[in-house]
Amino acid sequence: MNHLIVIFSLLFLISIGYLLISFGNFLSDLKFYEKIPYAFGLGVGVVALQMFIYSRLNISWEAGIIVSPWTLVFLLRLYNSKFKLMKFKFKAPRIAPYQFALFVLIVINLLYTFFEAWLRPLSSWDGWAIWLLKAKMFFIDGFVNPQAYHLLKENYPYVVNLASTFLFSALGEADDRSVLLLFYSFYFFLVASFFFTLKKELGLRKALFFTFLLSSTQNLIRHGGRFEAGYADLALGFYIFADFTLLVRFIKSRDYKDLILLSLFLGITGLIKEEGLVFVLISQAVLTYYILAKFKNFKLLLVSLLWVIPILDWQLYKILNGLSYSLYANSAFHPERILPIFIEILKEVINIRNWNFLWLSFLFGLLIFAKYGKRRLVYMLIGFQVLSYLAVFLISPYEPSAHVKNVMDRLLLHIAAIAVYSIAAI
Amino acid sequence: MIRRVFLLILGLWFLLSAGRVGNNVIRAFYSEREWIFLTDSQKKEKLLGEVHNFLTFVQKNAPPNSSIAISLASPESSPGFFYKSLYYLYPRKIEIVDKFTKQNFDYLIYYYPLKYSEQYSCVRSQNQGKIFRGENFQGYIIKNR
Repeated sequence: MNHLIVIFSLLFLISIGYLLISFGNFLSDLKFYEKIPYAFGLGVGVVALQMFIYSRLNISWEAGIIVSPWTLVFLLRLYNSKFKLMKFKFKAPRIAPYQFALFVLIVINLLYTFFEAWLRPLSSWDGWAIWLLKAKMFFIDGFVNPQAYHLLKENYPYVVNLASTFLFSALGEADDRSVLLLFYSFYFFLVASFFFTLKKELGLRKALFFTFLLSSTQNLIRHGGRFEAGYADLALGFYIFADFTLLVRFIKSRDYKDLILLSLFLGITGLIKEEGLVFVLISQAVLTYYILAKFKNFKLLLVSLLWVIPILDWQLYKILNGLSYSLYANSAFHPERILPIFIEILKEVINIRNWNFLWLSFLFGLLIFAKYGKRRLVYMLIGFQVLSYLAVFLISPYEPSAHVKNVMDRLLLHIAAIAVYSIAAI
Repeated sequence: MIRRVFLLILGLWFLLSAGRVGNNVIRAFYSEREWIFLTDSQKKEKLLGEVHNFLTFVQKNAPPNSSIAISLASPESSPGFFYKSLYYLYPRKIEIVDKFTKQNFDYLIYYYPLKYSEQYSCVRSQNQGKIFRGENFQGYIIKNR
């Protein structure tokens, strides 16, 4: 029963996201089902933001009070008569037998990961110690209690916590088994979003082939449903891929609506994990370059900075509540670690058990890129993101043999989907 | 040449992925089958072992508004045990203490995995107070006030 309630709650989040996409007339050229992954990402983010604001205004998290503003948006949209409820036309394309086989393999991966997410309660360390622990604390307290951060001596951002708290509130209990469907949803919608993006850009054949390769990556499956469900890294991977597709879309269209949606997604990405903020800053640098140097439109630059509002608000909350925990506060720079760091990263890159041949293919793709100079943007985004991780390892209080080894599989998860995209695009 | 090697790697990647799908399906029908009919509590016991039993026992015996000290005498008073205690026992106030000061906490909890049987008996015999004990773990809680 609890699983059903969670599924309906996730559908509610998707509906809110879809309503906003429809209200803002975003992604108007996409089909209904192509918008769903974005609707999910937006719904999760805005409801978490709504709960965070409610908490600070001492407004209750009761279901009716959370739903009411969205009912208003819905009615406004309905009043604006162009809104058509669930206009959904789907025509199955004619596909070759091998394409059908790939489709079946993808569906098996999705079903298997769902089965795993359904099967067991929470068992991942970060789930116990960070993400679902705080979600449970907020659910019991009924608000974002700053004491929870002080108790745990950390100040990770709140979107994953509050999305889980939302599900606990819908359930009326902190059920750490059914809530894992949230983490499965990030896997499901990452795979869906990847497929739709590739299908549009590279055709059905490549889309099916590379979606199958991505969906069968064991590290993704583990974070989507097996023993690592409960970490926030797959969620960040989902948002980074969505940001990337929206960034490419805006560069092509120059449409301010695409920029608004991108900026909303960037704001959510920066509130998933701190590594997300790094990606946001890199994306903003790319945006600034295109807007000022290529499009020469200063107004768009202001629009592109919308993401700053929720991030600044979170920083303000941290300052007001004295939350300044950082592993790296008194760290020194250790340039002598470069070689051990590279060795540890290399060990993860060739870890076939986690990644199959994903990173080896990516490295070969880089060699081909060096020869043909394609897809500069994706390599640049991945390059700067990896450089930021390298910088963190250089100032980390822990030795690379411990730190890099413990986190590299999760850091690579953030950029895995755009890496597979870069391989497919060769 | 690079392109040929690249295509070869893609081919190997596909074969490996297809093999993994097969492996996952087999796992779902065989090794994962034993999980299906367990209750959530049994699953947690399978995942966490005795810790689950002990913390569930504390949950039942210490009211939500109580404060609990985890004694450092316990070999499992590691950060891992602290976070698991927080997860199970919140909103009870939890703290790791060097020495149990009777004024500050409602309960002191000791937890010993089976491998520490000897130490458990030793510490157990030294402590006085109202003691609650369960069956399927080596641990106890002392009520203070």
